[in-house]
Amino acid sequence: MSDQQDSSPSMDVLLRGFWKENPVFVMVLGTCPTLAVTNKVINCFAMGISVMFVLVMSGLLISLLRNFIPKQVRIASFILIIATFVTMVDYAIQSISLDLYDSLGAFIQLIVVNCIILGRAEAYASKNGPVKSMLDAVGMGLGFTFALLCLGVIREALGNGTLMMDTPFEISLFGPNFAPWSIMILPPGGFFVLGLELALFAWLRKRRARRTAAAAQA
Amino acid sequence: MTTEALQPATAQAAQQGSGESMRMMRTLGGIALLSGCLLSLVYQGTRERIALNFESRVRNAVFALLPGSTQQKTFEFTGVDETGKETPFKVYAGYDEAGNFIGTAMETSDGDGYGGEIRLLFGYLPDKDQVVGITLLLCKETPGLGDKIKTDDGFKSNFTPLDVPLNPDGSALAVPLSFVKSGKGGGPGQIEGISGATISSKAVFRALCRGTDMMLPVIRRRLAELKEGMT
Repeated sequence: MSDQQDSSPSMDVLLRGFWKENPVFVMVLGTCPTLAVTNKVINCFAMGISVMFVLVMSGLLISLLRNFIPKQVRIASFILIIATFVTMVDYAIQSISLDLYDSLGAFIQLIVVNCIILGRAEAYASKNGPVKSMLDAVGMGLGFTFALLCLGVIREALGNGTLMMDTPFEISLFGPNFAPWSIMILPPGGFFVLGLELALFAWLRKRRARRTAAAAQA
Repeated sequence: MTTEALQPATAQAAQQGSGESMRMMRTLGGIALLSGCLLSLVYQGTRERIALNFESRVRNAVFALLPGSTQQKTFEFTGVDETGKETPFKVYAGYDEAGNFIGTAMETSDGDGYGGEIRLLFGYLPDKDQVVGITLLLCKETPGLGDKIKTDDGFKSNFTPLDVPLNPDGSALAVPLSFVKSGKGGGPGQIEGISGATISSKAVFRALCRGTDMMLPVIRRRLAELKEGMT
């Protein structure tokens, strides 16, 4: 198995998390923050970058320490390492902007128990070298950010009629007479959009699989 | 199986186990140590900025509440809250360029908003006996409904200004504040709620009542101190 992974080009490792094994749309991991913070585009960026930072740093450290961590305490060690980086992100966001910190609420601290990070630590970083682990982490982080933005753009556009609100780059989309669909900003809107997008991406993947199968037959 | 037969096996396992657990403890201890070092570094690095952020958030809110204020000083007073307990509170006094006293802003809160606690800052001009506005510092109300307490112009106009004269001996409000339905207000001390956000607007009302009842008499008593603040 590891031989096969070694021979695969690193670009593949990087891109796998973005599309083929997208953490949200394919593995359906980390849905809690996905549903909770995607009511504003800026939150999606902040959450995505935070998760990517934690993924990359914990992936690097776990992969470096993978031969020293006894099997019995590996989960405890992973959580300890992940929690350290999450706390760093927490301090960093507080020092950058309190408003951003408030709108992300408890979800920054909850990155500790995000299945994507523990999942990648267990399934990839603890079995592969540091460079590949980091590439995998960057890919997964990008995939997660991409998924958050897919939800956030739609929810903010319909729920508030803007893009990038609460930032200097705010764009108003529909003019002053637009009546915002408040439900899109509320939790049910997250479920609606996530459900529709899961269906859309599943359909896209199936169509592609059918086409490649047809091409292989021809 | 007899106990004699078991003993050697368990002893061996125990010995092996202790080596294993040493390894586990070493690993966890090592990682915890590393984590502690990293965290204390980051904490040291960000602490000042975070404190500054919190300070400037309140500072800016105070300047926005007190028209014409450009300087600020914080006082610590004590008042008696509704349960009869001595409670310390902060008074942010605002002054103009020349150091003349303009007014004060105080923080107050209520725990029974629709989404939990709300905290707000209200501006108070002792010379005019007026509340001159509120700013929500913490608001977890439902977007689009309860959070209208932050944005609703009709609701805001309750407090811009709200006359809060004290009784002649300065121990309590002359007219207690009261909560009325939207469109039914206009009387002295009446605060109109927002229809559709009654629970949230009532929480603001309660917070303001609590704040004014406790703090305004104290401010009246210690006005001289506040006025000398900048000199």
